[in-house]
Parts: sequence; C-alpha cells; structure tokens
Amino acid sequence: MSDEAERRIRDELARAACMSALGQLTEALAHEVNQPLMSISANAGAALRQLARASSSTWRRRDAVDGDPLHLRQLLLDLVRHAVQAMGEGEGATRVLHLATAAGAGGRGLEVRVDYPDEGGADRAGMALAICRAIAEGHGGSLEIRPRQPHGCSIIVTLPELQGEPE
Amino acid sequence: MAATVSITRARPAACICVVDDDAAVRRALANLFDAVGYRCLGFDSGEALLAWPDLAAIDVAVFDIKLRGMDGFALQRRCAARGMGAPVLFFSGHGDAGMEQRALRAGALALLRKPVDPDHLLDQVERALELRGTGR
Repeated sequence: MSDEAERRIRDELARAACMSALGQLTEALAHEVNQPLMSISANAGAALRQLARASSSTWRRRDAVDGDPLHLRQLLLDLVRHAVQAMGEGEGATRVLHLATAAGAGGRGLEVRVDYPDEGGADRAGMALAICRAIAEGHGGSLEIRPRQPHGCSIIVTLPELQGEPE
Repeated sequence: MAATVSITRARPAACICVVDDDAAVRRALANLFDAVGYRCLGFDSGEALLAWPDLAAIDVAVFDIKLRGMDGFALQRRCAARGMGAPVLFFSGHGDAGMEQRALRAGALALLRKPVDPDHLLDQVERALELRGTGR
C-alpha cells in the first residue's frame, strides 16, 4: 500500500471516529436538555390545568367574580405565558415563577399574583400585558405591575367581588 | 403554548404507570396526571415495575425507552408476558423514524418525543383509556 493510500485510510478512520464521538455527544446533549424540558413542560401543563380548575370552581362556588369566563381564562393564560416567555430569556441559572391565587381576601373577589424574574423589567410587561389590563379593567378590576429586586416583576390582577345576584 | 386550556375529565381513578429513571420527569408527569384526576404510579426502572405485585391495576403504561437496566422495549415484552393488558406509550429523547416503527410494531400506541406537549400526551392517554375500556 502506498504512503498516500495509507494516509487516506488513516484520515477516513479518524474522521469516522470523530463523527461517532460527535453523534454520541449530540445524543448525550439532547438527553441532558430534553429531560428538564420534559419536566418543565409537564409541570406547566399541570399548573395551567390546576389554575383553570381552581379559578372556575372559585367562580362557581363563591360566585365571587362577575365576568366572561372566556375572557378571564384568556387573561390568566396570557399572564402565565408572558411570565414564562420573559423568564425564558434570562441568563440566570435559577428561574422560579411563583403563582398564587386568593379568593375573597380583604373584600376582593379574586386576586392572582405572578412573580417571576425578568431582565426586561416592568416596562416590557406593561406593553405585553395591555390586553390583560383591558380585560381586568373591563371587569371593574385592575392589573398592577410592580418591579422586584434585584430584577423581575410581580403582576397582581384583582377582580372585584360580584355585586348582587349571579345571572 | 395553546391559547386555551381544556380540563380533561378523567374516568374515576384511572391508573397511569410511568417508568422513567429521571425523578424530576416522574414527579412532573405525576403532577400533570394528578391535575386531570388520574392516579399515577412512578417507577425508576423496569425491574422496579416488574417487582410490583399488581400489574393488572394499570390502565395505561408510559415507558421511557432509555432506562437503566432493561430498556422500554424489553420492559414491554416482560409486562406482556406477565399478562399486563394496558396499552403502552413510549417516550424517547432522541427517537428517529426507525425507532418509531419499532415501537409501533411492538404494539405500542405511540412513540412520543421528549419534551412532550402535555396536551398531546393527555390526548394519547385518553385514546389509550378508550382502547383499554373496549378491551376489557
């Protein structure tokens, strides 16, 4: 075998070994990335369902909020979606979205509070959540955005208690 | 993300079994199944599931293909040999068309790729439960 042919075979072997290692690395990387994504996605699905159920059962049980269920559900989903998207852009290693609801507290019908880290700050949330604010205000409630330290936002939606008898 | 959320009404106490060696994935799937009213049993290996005495109580089985010890395919065969009649859904983080064909040929209902869309997963579980209902 000529030196040239030997060198070519050696090069091809080296390249095949490299491709194989790259394939293994890709597979390992996909596994490392997909596992936490899988958990996040399943937990988000669970949280959205629990929230939707908690809200609608609150409305049914207490008749606490007077409003269009579709619009109110849209408000909640947009809120959570915005928070998830905003915190997804951050560089921090730990990102926690905290979501709490309270019914009937302090004479208010329903309060939904979302705390999350966001590099973009409260201004961006104000623009992104214009429709949510309009829905809340259209129902006689409010949407408040408070900056948090060192960064991030708290969004507090308050919807008033139903006045009079439910329809 | 979907613009609306549908709340799936589960049959009472349908039992979903999850086998995945990642504790966070098991916990998250348990949260999801719990949120729609299913009972969820989690196992960290096929061997652990096979050691469980009540395979007949399982209505739908969800197996990761890549597991420590026996893989999801081997687990499915062992479960079938032990008389587990529940439909099987497979998960894989890096499934290709070949793996999907293999899963379907093995009798699985579907091969779902991680990360899975929760709506899609719940649809598949509903479908599996319907099959399980007619198969009883």
